[in-house]
Amino acid sequence: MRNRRELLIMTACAAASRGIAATPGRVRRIGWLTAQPAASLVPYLDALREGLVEQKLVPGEGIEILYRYGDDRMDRVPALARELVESGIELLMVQGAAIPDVLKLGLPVPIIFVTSADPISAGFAKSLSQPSRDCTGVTFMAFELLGKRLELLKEIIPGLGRVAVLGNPHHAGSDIERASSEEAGHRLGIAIDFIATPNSGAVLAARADLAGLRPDAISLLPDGFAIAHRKAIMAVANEERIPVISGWPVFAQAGALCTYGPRLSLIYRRIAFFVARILAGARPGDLPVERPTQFELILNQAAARSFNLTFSRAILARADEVIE
Amino acid sequence: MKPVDRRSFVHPGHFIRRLGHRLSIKVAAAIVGVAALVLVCAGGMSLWLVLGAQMRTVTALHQLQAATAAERILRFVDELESHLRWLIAPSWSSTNEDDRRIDALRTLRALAPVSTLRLLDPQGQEQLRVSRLGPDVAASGADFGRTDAYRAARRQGRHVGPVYFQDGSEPYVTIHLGGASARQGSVVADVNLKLIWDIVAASHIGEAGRMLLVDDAGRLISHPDISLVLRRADVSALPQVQAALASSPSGDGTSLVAGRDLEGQKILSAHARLPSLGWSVVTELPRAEVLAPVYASIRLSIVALLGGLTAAIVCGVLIARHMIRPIETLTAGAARIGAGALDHRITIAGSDEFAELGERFNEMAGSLQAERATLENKVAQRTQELARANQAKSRFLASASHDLRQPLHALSLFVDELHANPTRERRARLNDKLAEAVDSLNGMFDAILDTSKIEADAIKPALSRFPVAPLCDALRVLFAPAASAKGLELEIGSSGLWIESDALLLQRILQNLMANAIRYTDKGRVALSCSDHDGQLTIAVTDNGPGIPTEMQSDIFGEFFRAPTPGQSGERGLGLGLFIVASFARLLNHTIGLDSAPGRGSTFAIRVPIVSPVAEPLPAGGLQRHASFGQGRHAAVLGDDPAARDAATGLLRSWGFDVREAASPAELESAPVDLLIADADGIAAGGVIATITAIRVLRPALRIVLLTGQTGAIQPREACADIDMLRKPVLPIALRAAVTKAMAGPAGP
Repeated sequence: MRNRRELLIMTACAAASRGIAATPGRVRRIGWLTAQPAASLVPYLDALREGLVEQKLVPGEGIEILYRYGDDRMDRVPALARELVESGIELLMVQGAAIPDVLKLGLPVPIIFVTSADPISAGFAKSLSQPSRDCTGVTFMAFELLGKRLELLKEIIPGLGRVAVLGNPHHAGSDIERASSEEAGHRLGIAIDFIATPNSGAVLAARADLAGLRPDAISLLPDGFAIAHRKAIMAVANEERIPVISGWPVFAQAGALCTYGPRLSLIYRRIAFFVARILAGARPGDLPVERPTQFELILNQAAARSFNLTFSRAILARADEVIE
Repeated sequence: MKPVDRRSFVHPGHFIRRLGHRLSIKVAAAIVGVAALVLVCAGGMSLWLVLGAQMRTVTALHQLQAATAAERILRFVDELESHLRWLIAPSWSSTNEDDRRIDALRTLRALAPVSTLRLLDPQGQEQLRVSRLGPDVAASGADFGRTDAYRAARRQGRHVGPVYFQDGSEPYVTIHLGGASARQGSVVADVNLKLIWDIVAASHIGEAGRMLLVDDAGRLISHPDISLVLRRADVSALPQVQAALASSPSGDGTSLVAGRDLEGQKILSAHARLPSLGWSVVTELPRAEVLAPVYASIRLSIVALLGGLTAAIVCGVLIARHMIRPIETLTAGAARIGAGALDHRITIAGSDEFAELGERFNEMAGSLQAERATLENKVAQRTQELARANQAKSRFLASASHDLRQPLHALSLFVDELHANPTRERRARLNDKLAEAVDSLNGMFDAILDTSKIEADAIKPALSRFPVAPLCDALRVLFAPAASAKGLELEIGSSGLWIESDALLLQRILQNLMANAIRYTDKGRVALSCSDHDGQLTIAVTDNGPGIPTEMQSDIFGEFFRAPTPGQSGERGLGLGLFIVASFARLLNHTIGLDSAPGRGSTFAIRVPIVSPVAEPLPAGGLQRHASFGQGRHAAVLGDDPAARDAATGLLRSWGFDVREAASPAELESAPVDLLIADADGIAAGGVIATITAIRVLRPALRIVLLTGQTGAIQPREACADIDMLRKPVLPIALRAAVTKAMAGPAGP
């Protein structure tokens, strides 16, 4: 299945990749910019590079990826972006929280955004089908999934009444995510408290809030920040004996009760398609924003046991993976 | 002389080369032309057939690919349907809510394209909704029962709604599945068609072809470039999409549709309808790729055609050369033979028509060569004969002039003697001598005249029946004096038989034979005998003279032949006697035989047909011509000089004519006249012609001889062109010759 998919992608984008590979001697540079530390993105960037190889864009062979990490310092983003542009990149991939700042710079290169937010409400694109002229990308559909996570929590945890939404307030669209969570909570009869964790310090500080609020569960907004601080956050939650739900498998592996969200590796792999098309001359505005089509539910049986919880048949029926 | 054909002076080699080039070019051109025609026709036809077959194959192939792709899409939907149908397979009442939910969740997890599932109870009310992104709802009670989709699904088992685009981007479709029985529920699934991309991208349409999936409005449902779908690229105006939408729901197109894809590249398109879904699969193939085998065929055909043409040219030139070579050989040979080299032979190997023709040429050249040799021989022979005849004639002239001069000389001596008033006795002897000399001359002239008449072919024998006896008598009378003069014994036999011949000519034959016999026999006898054998009378003249050597026997009948040993008398003929004999015998169709040997004498025999006697015998007078050929004829001498008249009158009378003198034509009126000797000088000057003409008008049968004293050339006018004119003084011999000729010739014009 995997092989066939690779073959298909290669076939579909043969025209685009051919133009690039056929230009020997000239190294084409593309940029990767994130405000997060490098460590938070390792598996996904691997997926991105795999995708590029599928598109016959082998890093080091005619193409060079310049990575820039803000290491959680948003203020560094504009300088890094300009530096990349001055390095002669032909396009810039921007991930996560750095996107709004980069877009504000009005850089003279096409931009591919990689966001968990809703790109339209975040102002990254005019519409999914026809994004803005020089900017397109992929979204992880974070806010649509918030309600779904609350619903799953409610099914897993009997008598769920209060959920604390823990998230980075700097995350683009975090307001919408917060509103979306509150709206879903209202629909499901769950009280929602938003705890902003703009930095590692705030994560520790959140412990007091959690202790005070005594929520039945924590919904951790999945973003680069959360990934970067997942261990600290999980530590706080465990100490407070509060089960955590989030978006990506990485959190389940870190001890979260369950995660529900798109297969990120597929999305990162898909970014390579945008890179190939733009390098082949396509206008970003002609490449619609793509949303994930595959989602996975990961259950952490150990975490459930530690909270004396049992996954019902219905939940198990949904699960894609159960971690023992 | 005809103008010479200049071409015959062109060097034959050059001519042949030109001919060869022209012919070989023509032959080669013909072969190449025919071959080219055949090749082009065959090539064109096969190309046409191949192209047709290829286009059909290509069309069928791509229609098959389109149909296969459509089949895959259908299978995708059918698989979704069969999975979803499990949810409603049991009757609604036999399942509880929890089981239904778990089944629904499992199904949702298994079917990635399904984003939302709804289970409706048999009444069409929503009892369960599970969703990948949206909230799950239990028993919302939403009533679907009244929707068309629900009713259609209940009626037909399945209803596929129109394609819609989620958030204006991803294509979705809602599938309603109704249970077969009223106790079964229904399932409604929202399907994200973006996931059909796997199928669309996996469908191999040729090398670089691709397939599009469009709905019944021509909106793009799927495309290998998913971006086009997500941004809702408008393909409805493309001709291939239009053709697909316009085609009948069940039928596929019969031919490929030409169009351009969204990038503007020229493509050929096939399509297949999915009537149950209302969608169509449209394939797009780069035109160049589709037509590549066609172009390859065309290229191959052109290469084959060029190859064939090259082979045809090579073959044509070789065949033409092969064919031309014998023709060139023939032409060269014919030219050489034509130029006179008759010994040239044409060599063409093989046994075909050309070799045959060469053989014929050679035979012709051989015949020509032999013919020429024969001709040359004949010419040489004839030249020799002519030279011999010429020599004979010269000899004759020399001897004849001498022979003729002898009696003339004697005559002049006798005449001189007469002038000297000889004695009476002496005069009588002189008269005899004169008569003898004149007879000799007469004989010679007779021979010359006969010869000239024979040569002029002027003698027409007049055959008649007559008894042979009078002829024998005449000969006896004629030759008795000569024989006794020489002291020869003369025996003339006779016969009572009648024969058929020309009496005069036969008499001339026998006279000549007799004269020869007497001339060449010095002593002994000369005999004429008649004997009959087998209806033929053989008249033989025998002598016991010197005889004729065998080698000369074939020559003696030629003109001017004279035996080298004349008789001792020294009297010689002109050598025309036997020539005349042989010529007359030929004219009369009588055969002449000769039996002779030197020292044993000679016998000449002539065989004449014997006939029965007729009533009236021929008058014997006709046989007396030699003695006096004018006997019984009337002659007239016209002239104003009495002396001249006397001389002519005397001569004519001596030849037996009854002569009348006249000074003017008027005196001759009513007088019977056969021959007129007219002195032209005696007739009024300038009136000669008129006079003659007047006389001829009156007497058309009159034979005329004119005498003139004019010294200039005698130029007779037309009216008297046939009249002999003699210049005065006229020798008796000349007059005799003219008179003889006039009397022998036809009477008058």
